[in-house]
Amino acid sequence: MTLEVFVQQLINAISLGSLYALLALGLAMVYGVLKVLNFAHGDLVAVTGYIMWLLWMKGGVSFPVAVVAGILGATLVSILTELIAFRPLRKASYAVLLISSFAVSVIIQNLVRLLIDPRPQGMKIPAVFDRVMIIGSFHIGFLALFTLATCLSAMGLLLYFLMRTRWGMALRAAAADFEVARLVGVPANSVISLAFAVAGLLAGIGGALWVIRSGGIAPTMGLYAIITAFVSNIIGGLGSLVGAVVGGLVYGFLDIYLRALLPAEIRAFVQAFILIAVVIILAIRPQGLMLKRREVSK
Amino acid sequence: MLEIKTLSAGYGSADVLHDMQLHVDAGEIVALLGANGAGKSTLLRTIVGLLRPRQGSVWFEGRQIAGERPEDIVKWGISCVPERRRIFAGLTVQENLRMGAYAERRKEVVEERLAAIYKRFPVLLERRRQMGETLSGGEQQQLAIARALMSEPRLLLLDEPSMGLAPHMVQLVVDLLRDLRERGLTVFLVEQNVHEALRLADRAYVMASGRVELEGSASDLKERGLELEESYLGVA
Repeated sequence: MTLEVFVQQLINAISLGSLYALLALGLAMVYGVLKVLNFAHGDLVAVTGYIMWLLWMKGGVSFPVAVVAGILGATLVSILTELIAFRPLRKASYAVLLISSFAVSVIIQNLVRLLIDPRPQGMKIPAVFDRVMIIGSFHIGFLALFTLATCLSAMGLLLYFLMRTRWGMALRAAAADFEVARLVGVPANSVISLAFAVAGLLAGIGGALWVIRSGGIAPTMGLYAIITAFVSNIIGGLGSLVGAVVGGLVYGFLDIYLRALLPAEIRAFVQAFILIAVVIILAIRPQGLMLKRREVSK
Repeated sequence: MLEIKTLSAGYGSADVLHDMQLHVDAGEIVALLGANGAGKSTLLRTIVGLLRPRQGSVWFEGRQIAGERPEDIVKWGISCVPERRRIFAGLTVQENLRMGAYAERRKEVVEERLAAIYKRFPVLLERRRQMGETLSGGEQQQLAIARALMSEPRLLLLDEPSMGLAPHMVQLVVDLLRDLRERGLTVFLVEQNVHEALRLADRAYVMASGRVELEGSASDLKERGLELEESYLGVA
């Protein structure tokens, strides 16, 4: 690997890692307040993709408007997921909620198959994203920079929201101790809806970038997104927002560098090698990279 | 002020509280004594709305509050210092205090309360930028009480406030609660530490297996101290 290639891959890795971090953060936000993994989180990526596809490829709407509509759609579906699949089961056990979120995932995927098309669809992506910028001897893709800038801005806004606003503080308090948050006056339903809204917004932004990168959509595309988000959280330490970001970045680095370094014949199995690396990380730090040992399993 | 009538509550299919009766009058400090597992914490959880009773009622200032939501009950003037303090981890001391006044939307009112709290608890002012969970046990107990006071309650509930505290910290909490009572706060506390509780309280109830077994003035109960411990509190 030459220095040029290394630096280019570094930018690609940070860029893809920040996208994974965004998806992982949404999952972590909901986990924070409910202590449940929402397995329908990945399907919000598909929701965003299909709304974009319908508006842009079929409806003749401009690309930026289709993107914004896709993001808002994912946010709305996330809020509805909570209302329909989680709220009626507020007192149910962890396992019941997990199954309920699986059901939402299956329903979304099959609605897409029934109402739109069971086959994958290609999406025309505006040419600007294919541009490559040449700085000295470095070739840097516009898409990589755009992804990175978007994800960093989204994370910056999230950080501001969590640290500087009353609702953000309530979300953090509810994630730390849900019961005591209610005792001081945080309404349970509102703060859970808020977590799902933020998660949906992040999944929508991440989903739009995901679709732009891949140039296509498929009913089951959420599966890879949820696995990525879930594994990122496990790497960083489930329950920690910083952990979600770190885990996403680590996943992005593994993804890009393993693809670059593995011999061509086994490159198709890059996922397996990523997971082997994750197993090694967890063997050394079972609690994830960002949690202290005693913080696990409260 | 607080009146509990024929209250039964529990988890799953098992009742923990059976036909509880007790009352706390305005301006009193009342203690609820009992061994581990007698149902003291369950009673507090029912009063603050974390547990829906199976039967009976909880009256607070003429309003039936049993089965209402905790986020509403705090607005009506009941605040709670939970067992083991339960400081919000990852929030600074100041943020923990601000959360205590979450139900109050007017910023200037929250700032006034914060200033008053810092005057009363100088150590919290000193540590306001520190993470809440990094405080010592005694400081955390002060923070937990201060957080509960931020909603300006008329009734303060405390679950085992002396647990795990050094004697001088227990004394500090006792003095604090006496002073708050002088200023019109009503206090209802749950304790296993019989001596401390009876030294502080005006009246006390003794609970065993989910029922009120005894009630009386603190001085009466103090005279029966040994008998009390042997029969109800499981201290040999």
